[in-house]
Amino acid sequence: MKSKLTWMLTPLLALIMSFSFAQEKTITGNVTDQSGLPLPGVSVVVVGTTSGTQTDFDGNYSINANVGQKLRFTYIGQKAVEKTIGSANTISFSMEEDAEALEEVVVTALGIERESRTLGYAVSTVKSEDLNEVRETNVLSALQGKASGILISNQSGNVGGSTRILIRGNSSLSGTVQPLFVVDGVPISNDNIATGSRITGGFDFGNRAQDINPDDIDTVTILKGASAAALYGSRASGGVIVITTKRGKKGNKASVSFNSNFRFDTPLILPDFQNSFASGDDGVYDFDQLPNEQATSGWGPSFSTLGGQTYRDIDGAQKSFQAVPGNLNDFYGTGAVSINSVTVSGAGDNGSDYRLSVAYSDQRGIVPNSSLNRTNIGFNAGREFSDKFISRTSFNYIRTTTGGTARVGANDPNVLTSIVNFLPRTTNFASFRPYKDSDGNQINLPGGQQNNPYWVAFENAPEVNVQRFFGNISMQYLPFEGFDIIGRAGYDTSVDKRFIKNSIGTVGRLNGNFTDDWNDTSELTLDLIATYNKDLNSNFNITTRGGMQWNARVFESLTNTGIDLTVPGLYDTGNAATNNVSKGFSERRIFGIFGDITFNYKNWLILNATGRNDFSSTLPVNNNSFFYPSVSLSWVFSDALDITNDIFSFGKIRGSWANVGGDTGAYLLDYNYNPDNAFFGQFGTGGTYPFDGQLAFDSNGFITNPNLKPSNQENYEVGLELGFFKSRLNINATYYSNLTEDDIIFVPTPQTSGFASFLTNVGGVSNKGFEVDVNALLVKTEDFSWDVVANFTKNETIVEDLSGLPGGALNLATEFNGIAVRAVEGKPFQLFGTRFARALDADGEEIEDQILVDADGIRQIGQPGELGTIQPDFTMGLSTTFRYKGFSLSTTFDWRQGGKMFSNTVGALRTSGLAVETAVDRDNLFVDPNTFVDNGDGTYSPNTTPIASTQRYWQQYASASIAEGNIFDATFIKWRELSFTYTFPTKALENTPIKALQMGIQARNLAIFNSEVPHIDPEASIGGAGSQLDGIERGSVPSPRSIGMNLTLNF
Amino acid sequence: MKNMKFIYKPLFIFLALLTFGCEDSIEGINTNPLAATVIEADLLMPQVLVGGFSANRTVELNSMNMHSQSWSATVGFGVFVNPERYNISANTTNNVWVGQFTTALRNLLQMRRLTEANRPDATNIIGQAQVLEAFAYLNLTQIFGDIPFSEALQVEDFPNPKFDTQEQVLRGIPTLIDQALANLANETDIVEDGDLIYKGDRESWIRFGNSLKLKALMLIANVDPSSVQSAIQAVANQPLILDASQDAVLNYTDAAGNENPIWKTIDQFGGGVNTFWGAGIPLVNIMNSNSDPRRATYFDTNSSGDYVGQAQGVFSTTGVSTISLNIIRPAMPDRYATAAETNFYLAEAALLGYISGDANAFYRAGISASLNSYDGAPGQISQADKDAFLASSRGSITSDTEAVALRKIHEETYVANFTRAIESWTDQRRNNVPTIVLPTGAVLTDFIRRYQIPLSEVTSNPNAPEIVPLTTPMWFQK
Repeated sequence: MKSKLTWMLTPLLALIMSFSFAQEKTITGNVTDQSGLPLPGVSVVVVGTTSGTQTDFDGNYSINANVGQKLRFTYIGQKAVEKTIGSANTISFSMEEDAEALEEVVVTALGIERESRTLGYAVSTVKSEDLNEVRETNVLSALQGKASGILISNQSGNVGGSTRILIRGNSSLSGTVQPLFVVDGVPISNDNIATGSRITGGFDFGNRAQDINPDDIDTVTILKGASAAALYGSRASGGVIVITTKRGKKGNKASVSFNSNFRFDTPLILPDFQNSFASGDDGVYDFDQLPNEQATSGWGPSFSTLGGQTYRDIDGAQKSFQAVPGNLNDFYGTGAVSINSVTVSGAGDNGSDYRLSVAYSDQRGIVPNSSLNRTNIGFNAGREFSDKFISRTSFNYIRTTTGGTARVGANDPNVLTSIVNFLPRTTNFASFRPYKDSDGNQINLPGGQQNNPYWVAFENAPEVNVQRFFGNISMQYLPFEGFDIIGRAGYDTSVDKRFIKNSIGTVGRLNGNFTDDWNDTSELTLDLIATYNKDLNSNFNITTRGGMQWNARVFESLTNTGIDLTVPGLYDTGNAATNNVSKGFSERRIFGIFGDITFNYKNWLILNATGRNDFSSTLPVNNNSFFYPSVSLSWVFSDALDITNDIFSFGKIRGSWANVGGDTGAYLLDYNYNPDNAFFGQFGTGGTYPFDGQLAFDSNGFITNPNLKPSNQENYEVGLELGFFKSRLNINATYYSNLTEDDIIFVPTPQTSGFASFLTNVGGVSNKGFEVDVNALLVKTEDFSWDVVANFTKNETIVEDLSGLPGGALNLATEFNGIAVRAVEGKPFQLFGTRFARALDADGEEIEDQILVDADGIRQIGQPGELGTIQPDFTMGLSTTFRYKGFSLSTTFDWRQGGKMFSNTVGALRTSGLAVETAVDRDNLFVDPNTFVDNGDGTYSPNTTPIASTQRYWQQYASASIAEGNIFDATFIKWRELSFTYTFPTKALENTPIKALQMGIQARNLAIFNSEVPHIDPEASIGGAGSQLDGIERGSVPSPRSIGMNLTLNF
Repeated sequence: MKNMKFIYKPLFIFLALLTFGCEDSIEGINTNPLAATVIEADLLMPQVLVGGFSANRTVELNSMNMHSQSWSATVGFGVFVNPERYNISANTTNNVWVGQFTTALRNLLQMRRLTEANRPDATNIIGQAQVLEAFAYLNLTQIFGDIPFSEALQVEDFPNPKFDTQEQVLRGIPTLIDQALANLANETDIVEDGDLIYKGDRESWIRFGNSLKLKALMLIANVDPSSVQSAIQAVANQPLILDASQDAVLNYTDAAGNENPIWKTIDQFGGGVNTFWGAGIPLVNIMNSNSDPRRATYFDTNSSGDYVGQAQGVFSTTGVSTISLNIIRPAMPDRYATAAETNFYLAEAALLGYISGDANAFYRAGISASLNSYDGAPGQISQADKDAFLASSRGSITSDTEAVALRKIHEETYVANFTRAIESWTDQRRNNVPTIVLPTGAVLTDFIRRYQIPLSEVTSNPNAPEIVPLTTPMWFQK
């Protein structure tokens, strides 16, 4: 390490040296690896100068130097070579592999760098080039399929929408399962702040991890287990995503890099509509009413029987009945995304380095009038003032403007998908244009109390503006050999301003209203860490660390809703009949002290122990302190037993154990009376307080608990890491088990107690799983290489203990019509809702395979019950890259097997008679197979009555009140990424100022295979990033498929 | 290394300060600055009335006006079609259950607790809370039948309240009201400004309490008169709501955000024009046959100038009388207890001999109270029309047989209950007057008679009963 540093510093002497006169000549040569294959990209530097070059694709180089000077050749994974220039003009040789240098350095908790081989637990690291193989505005989407142990789901196709990430399963009943995000050692916010309810006409404005510029990221390290994350304390129970940003590289002169990416988005999957039946009821069309005013959108007569007849359309014209296949494609536009970035980086001669990046993303979504603009400015610099003082700083400023995010959920006139998905098949979207007249009134309404979808998209588009700053400053002091102390201050603040409006004339909000919702989030983290590293003898090394961390998080909001507007288009408080203002505030702090000790014997046996004690402001004073230890052991048996050979190159066994605690939210200990400012009313008929001049307070709906104690998670894992064929095939396997106990959750009480819930420590949830990462360099020749990276994860979440709760079960989150995600003792998390009525056995228990029908042969509403688990059986990711000379072809697949989901969209497409499957054989009144009839005397007979009508069959089978018919297997394989890139050879650029040039074609989310969910993307969900409403879909916006181009230039 | 010492010393002091300082800074910040731990009980009453009771008594339970068939929806939107055909949304039952049991009853419980703790002398406030508690349980049992009552709202003792039968609830309500009346007997501090019904008028609260008690007893009397006859006589001698000016009413206002949610529905979806709701056939028929002057208050005439109702389960405005904007307007009140209702119950009690008194006088007072309740409001009925109606054969039951007299009392109850969704449906179920017909397209094979207890209660309370079919009659029905 020391010699490396020296080498990196040597070019700083360059200026002085270059003034000396000497006999200069051109040295050429060829560099190969051990097996004689040429090594492209080997760095060649004249020691003590700034002059340097790289070998080309054939391993050739050419450099000017003086006799007596030294050339230094370096290449990743190879031992550095120095050659003194003598009389010869050619220097060619083979480099040797350097086992030590292959050791990956991993950034672990608190920004501590450790060699991968010394870790006693599993981490996954995704490097910049893998992350940005196909450019993506959201770093979480870019991680999909690239690491084991994590499950990442895009919640909707909205631009800037949220992404849910689960590391090693859902470890909590409380819903706080999102991992902690850490950038350059400092935690930053990944909040997903809701304006209103997500269920009733809410917005998915996304979680804030999307603010990070993927281009600034050097590595993403995923700390999956409690042992890995233990030093982060209570906030790390959902794992940690550690992001290290790029720095100016020492030894490099200033370089400028420019990257430009452009892509087009189209909907990946749209509902598969029937094109044979008009709107109407029971095969009859009511000619007095518009197509969209019929009782249903798809149960009218078939177009073939309507031949010659005409209907009155919304423009008043008489038109002949005819389906408009693919009409929804006309509504969704082609989205366009451009991401441009410029980076300037380098290192000075005085121990300083810098990197400045500016990126601008401009995205137009597939939903009309939806857009996202984002500017990222990142600065990262370090300076060594002396060999005792080092300082680093990084700052990020991000400004994001999102417009036209489509509402999700229901019970709001602006839920676009619930308008456009359910229009009659005769609908031509061109007939909704124009959507307003010259006076600004809404025209060309579809009828049926629905708004013109373009009116919703253009006149009621919400706007969100987020300005965020995060950064940190650190000072490191190294007073003597082996000891250093680092102080670091990190700050993350964002101002998130949302503007939501209903223009005057919006059906359902005819008088117009608007909401300004301003949210201010800030987080301050102070760290002080001292490290002492000592070689006791040549075999034995001890590293000890001690430190403290202080973290404060503050959230403030101010929201005003102005109702009943007078002048159209004027969203000022003075133009509203009533303004309803509300405030929000919360503050929480954690103070932690920690210690860490590592014993290293011969670098093949490493024992690490950590301990941290946290004090949390959110817990009762007498219970606010909690300690958690971790121990991990790494044994590199291949070195210990010295058994490496040409086939077996590396072997390591590791194990770890940890116990971490957790706190809860702010202000949950006092029983409070809250000033209230609004009351609920179905269909948006709610109103505001004060009422008739009187204030209204509301008492807390939950019961507080003064004896709350920290939650607890115990975790162990064992792993095996193997390398074969000179580490061309590497296998990394982990088995883990963790158990969360005393989770702090709101347990629902019977509402007849007067309360909705009580806050308490309850339950135990275990996650046991198995992860394997395999990477293989299958072929490597002079010009061609083929590598494969695969990961496999099987996680099983089991609710171990809900002692004391009625029925041993607990609804974690509930959506419309009682469909819920439910924790049931002894089982993985379940979907829960109403099932079909079934026959009962002698004990009054339902007989699973005897579904009952009524006298009309139609299924009936039965009792609520479990509908299957939301948990996948396993997930797999597969990436592979082919390289031939300058060409590179790379692709990633993401496979999620098993787990159930509930789709309201599918149900509604079926009950309305619009789904293609509802048009099959409508006149065939079949007998619902394997159904039974109740004989009324406790016996049941097989049903022989055909269904009364296809309409009634589907309306009951897919009814919103019966969840069972709308449950699907959520399995899918997604073709996530495909890129084809050409890197121009250095020779071709010799006479240009360009150092490197790369061009490529890229695509994301190309296709879904193997999905059993019709009409929608099985990845969609209503809940958002931090919610437990996983596996429940309603009104989701289609997800995009992207195809585009990328250009990278380095100067 | 001398320099080192110079650096170390302050460093350690700094560390020590940081350690202890930081630990201290953790405590004492966990109090919500935007909420109070103690308030005056008065501040909770508006939430109880507006958010707890009326938010669901208005638009949420408006479908009960269809179940009693006094209203009929005239447009075929799902939100109208489904409940009219007896397909009741789980959201409705859930909102009603939660609104009454938590928003109303929990805040009433806290009103009592805050008063007991901080103003123990202000027993009138406790009395007000108890009258409203009785009203909440009365609302709930009329909708759901068996509900937790004796163990409800006592989470420390009964985390999973058992369900009492409707009979037990109805027999318990008079006892609860007796406690309220005892607390209201002497003048003390009382909720005034926050009392959106009576502005702290103690006498009015006593009348409200007694009237609710009479109603509970009359529901029992429908199936078991002998057990409550003396209690009915006793309450009949107490102050009751007998004049329209004494009605217990939550008045919505014209101010934006304080309008009646039913008005808001047509304001936000229909531009302030009512094409959504028309007259129910049984109601219009009764009123037409008596040339009832309230017709013009209640309804617009159809295009032919007639008052015509719309059949249940059918949705069209063609030829139908829609409900007048005299009724559906921003300040449309939610009538909790009315003089008409009390007088008609007294008329029935007198007619059937439960109490002494002139049944005809109560009957005429009931009609008067109903006619007078539009005084000072749009659609006010002229004195001449009032007099003429009272002078008509409809204005007297003296010359009628008991059966005819009873039918007239029940029909006038039905007419007077117009827009009182729960009460209209309850009296129709209690009296079987008027006769109603099964809606076209009904999903049940018989009339709907109750709503289902929501899933959230069933899944969280092990004492919750099996789900009862919606067609099962209420205990108070005969």
